[in-house]
This record gives sequence, C-alpha cells and structure tokens, in this order.
Amino acid sequence: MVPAFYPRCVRGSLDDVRNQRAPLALDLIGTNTYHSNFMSNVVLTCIAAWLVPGAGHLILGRWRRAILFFVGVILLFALGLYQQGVLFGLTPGLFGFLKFFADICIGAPYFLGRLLDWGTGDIRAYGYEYGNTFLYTAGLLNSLLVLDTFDIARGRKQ
Amino acid sequence: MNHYVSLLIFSLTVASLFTAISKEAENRRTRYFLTMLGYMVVGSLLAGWLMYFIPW
Repeated sequence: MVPAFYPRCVRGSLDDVRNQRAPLALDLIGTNTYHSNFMSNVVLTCIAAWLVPGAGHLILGRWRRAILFFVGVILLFALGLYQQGVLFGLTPGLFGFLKFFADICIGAPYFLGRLLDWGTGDIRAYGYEYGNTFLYTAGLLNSLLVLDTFDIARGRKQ
Repeated sequence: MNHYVSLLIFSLTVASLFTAISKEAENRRTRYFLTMLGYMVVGSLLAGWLMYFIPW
C-alpha cells in the first residue's frame, strides 16, 4: 500500500521504487513524467528516512531492518540525552557546524528535543562527553541509513 | 551508568547497525558482528590502558 502521507501527485511510481523496478525505456518515450515521479518518490523516501530513523526501510518493505534501525538510533539518542549530552544549534566555526550537522542528522527527534528543551546538557556532568558522542553517533548513523535507503530505492542494493 | 556499560551499549548498537547495512552474506554476518564488536570493546580498553602511562 502507498503511504497516505505521500502527496497524490507523486504517488505514481512508489510501488516501482519498492520493487526496485527502474523505469523502462518504454515508459520514458515521449515523456519525462514517469522518471520524475520515480525520482520524486526516491527523494521523499530519503526525507522520510532522515526524519524518522528506519522509516525509509519500512516504506521499501524492509520492516525487520526498519525496526532494528529505529530502536538502535532512538536508543543512542535517548542515552545521549540521559547522560547530559547537548543538542547543538548552529554556532560559528568549523567544529560548531560539524556538531550541528551531526546532531541535526537525527531528524525529527532532534527538532522535538530542541522544542522541548531536552538537550540542554551539563558540562559538569559525569557523562557529558559520552552523551555528546552518543548523540553525534545517532545522527551520523541515521545519515548512513538515508544513503542505504537511497541505494535500495535505486536498485543498487537489496 | 558507568563508562564500561556505556562502551558496551555503544559498541553493541553500532555493531548491530553496521552489520545490518553491510553487504556481507547472511552466513557471514554473525562473524562480522562479533569482529566489529571485539575491535571496538578490546580496542577501547587497550587504548584506555595505554593512556594510563601518558603523564599529562
């Protein structure tokens, strides 16, 4: 089934994304619509994978891996916050940007945490550095999952 | 939660996710997981002990 949250205008080829069917030459004769729909759905799947860890794999029908990825990334995120890690905003300098990039890759949990003031952290806390490491790793692993989703959706990987 | 428990949870989670996205064949995945877990846990403990001898 096509997820309901997808806009109707780009739903057309989601089943082909899931079944890893690249557009046939016949589909492309005289029109680019099929290919653009296919790519739109790949991009939307990657955005879903970024926002909710494991969602991309769930959309592509890899539900066992999706559950593992969701639990793994959320576990790292929760333990990072529990150990007084910080959800960094954008600050000046290269390292400021890298910390922000690693954290924002977590997706929706990052925005939720910032909204609810979860990741304020405490630099004097016993687990401060551990907490930050857990949060960075959760984000960077999620970015790897987005790339994995992209590869599966394009048919480069099972 | 002490440092060792943090290290174990971190290593288990990262090794699991890396194994799941790896291109290893099904029958080699357990070995891949255990190898990666071993590298992270033993490597961290070894690095910790080596740093003990650094005076600053």
